[in-house]
Amino acid sequence: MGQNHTLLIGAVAYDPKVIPIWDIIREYYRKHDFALDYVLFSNYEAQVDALLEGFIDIAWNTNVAYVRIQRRLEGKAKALAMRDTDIGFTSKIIARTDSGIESLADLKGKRLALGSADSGQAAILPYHYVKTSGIDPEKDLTLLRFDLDVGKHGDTGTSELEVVRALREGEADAGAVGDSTWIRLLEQGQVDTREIRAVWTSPDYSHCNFTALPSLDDALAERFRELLFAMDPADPDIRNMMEMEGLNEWVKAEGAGLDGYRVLFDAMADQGL
Amino acid sequence: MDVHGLTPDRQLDLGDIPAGPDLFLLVRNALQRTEQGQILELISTVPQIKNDLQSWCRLHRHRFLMALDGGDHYRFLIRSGTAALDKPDWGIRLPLRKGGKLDIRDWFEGRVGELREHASSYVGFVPRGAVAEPGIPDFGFTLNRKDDVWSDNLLDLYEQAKAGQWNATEDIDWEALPQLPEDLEWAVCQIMTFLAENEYSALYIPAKFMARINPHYIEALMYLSTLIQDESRHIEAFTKRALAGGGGLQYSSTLTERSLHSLFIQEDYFKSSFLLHVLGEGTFLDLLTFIEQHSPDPVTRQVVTLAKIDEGRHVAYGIGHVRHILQQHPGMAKALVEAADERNEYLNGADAGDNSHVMEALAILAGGGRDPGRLKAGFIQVGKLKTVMYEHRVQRLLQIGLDRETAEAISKSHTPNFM
Repeated sequence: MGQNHTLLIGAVAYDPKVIPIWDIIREYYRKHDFALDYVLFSNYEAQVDALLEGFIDIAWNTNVAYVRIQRRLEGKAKALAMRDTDIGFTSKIIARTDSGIESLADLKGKRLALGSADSGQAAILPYHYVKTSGIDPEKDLTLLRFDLDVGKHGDTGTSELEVVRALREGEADAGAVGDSTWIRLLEQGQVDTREIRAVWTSPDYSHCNFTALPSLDDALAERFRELLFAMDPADPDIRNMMEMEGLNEWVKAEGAGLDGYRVLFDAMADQGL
Repeated sequence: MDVHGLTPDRQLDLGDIPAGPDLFLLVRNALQRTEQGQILELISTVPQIKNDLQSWCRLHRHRFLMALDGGDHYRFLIRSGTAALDKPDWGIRLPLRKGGKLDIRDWFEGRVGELREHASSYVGFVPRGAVAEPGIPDFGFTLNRKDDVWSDNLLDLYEQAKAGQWNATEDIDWEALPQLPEDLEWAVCQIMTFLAENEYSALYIPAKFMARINPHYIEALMYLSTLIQDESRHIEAFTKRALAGGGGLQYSSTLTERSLHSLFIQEDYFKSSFLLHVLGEGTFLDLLTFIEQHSPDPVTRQVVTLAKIDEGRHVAYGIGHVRHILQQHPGMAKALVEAADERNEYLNGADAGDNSHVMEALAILAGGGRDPGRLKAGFIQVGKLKTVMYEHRVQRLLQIGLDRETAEAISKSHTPNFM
């Protein structure tokens, strides 16, 4: 319908399922006469550059990538939409039950395991929250960092599994993981809460979003969003995609959803990231 | 949050179950039974589950409202954010028939009784009446309409079939088998070979279609499974009769195999049902009656008589099924003529000769021996059998709703293989 430009979306290939996810999304848009294609990147830094250079129109970004783009564009990038599950995301501090750790204050003098250095949920934000609670992570704690899959911003979850493993094997007393990983491990029975328990939950923050340059055509962006929000989970393909991508519905990036990125701006500035 | 105005709609006591698979499974199931917007109250003696429950709720779209300290226990209120599953039936008791019998004809109550004209293809193996979670994969069933498989007498036939099962090992009086003159024993063995061969096709063809039938019409599958059990028992009994008298299985003709192959490759269930149950098994009934009449010994007679009762049910299903479809869609009669024509075209494509061994055996059986006089008399009887077969075929075709002209045309062109 008068669209003479194929909207190009960038996503990071952190798992083989990323391909069927985006094939389904592309097919859905094509069915609605909206020309859309996608490009996969091996890491978020390359995707950030591609968006800034205008090679892609929209980037499916982690919160860390979003913050980097906003800093480069002085806050002018547009956040178009996010998953319902991207809002109210939290990190958990988990601890061995025999460590005596019941709160953040108890971490003093203990060994804390962190996930990948570029993971918002498993490293950057937990570090920030511990620090703002009055503990100096560099002096008061022994940090164990598991920098796996750097460039994927924690998407693969492998570093969080390493954190849990380190606790289980007694290498660390406490660790940081995202709540979705933690709940999945509990649901699957991979953690015994008699051995390891979540002792602290961070305030809510936001996770991923669709980020666009300020120059993206408003009408095009609006049509992209309309179709996104109109996806019907009763459609077996859409349902399949939503399960793989971990959402129940797409929502606008506004209000609490947007406010949820503020803490990460502070954390990254403080940590020089 | 203000606790006033929050009235739980459902309660779940979790005792001291810790956060883990069991706890989340129970909470998830309870929420599936809770209407969207209603409140589930969890009772637990484990305070640590609060934060895990909060995170779990966020990821699964429910709203954690509040935690209340009850002294020796905690109460957690969750507002369900997802649609509840449909309510399954509860409280339905089926009536019993005389003698305490629970008949399948009486189970069409509540959700089980909601038999649709067109079943969803996303039904999987969810029993009709049960409540399915969303997201069932497509099993690829292709017979998804009631008309495709149903017959008004289906349930009666199913009950009859179960009551009429017999055992080829002990229900036949094998000890009563006499030593027959060799010619007669050979004729019986040749005929048993032919009967068994035909029953292989009658077993395989419905079995081929069963996996394509939508499980919504489970009663059709139940009936067909009795039919398949019947056929396997017939194969067993006919083969045993050939072996029991010291003879053995005899000749199979190319014509028979080609004829059965033409049935086997039919991929349309309506056409297949017509060719197999109405034309094939219908004509088979007349053949069994003929063998019964001329049976030289009580064992052959008993085997054939029992098989004939079973075959009668198969023909009744075929006639009921095809008639049901023709009543709804009279234009479908064309497909039947087409099916018969296609089959003839296939069979005429090669010079496959005649069913000569079977014809000879039938003449020996009817005439009482192999000498020329008896053979001659026997062939006259076989000729009469063909006339009876033709007439009965026409009658069955009229029964399913075809006009006389069409019925006669189809009956005339029917394969000399009988089946």
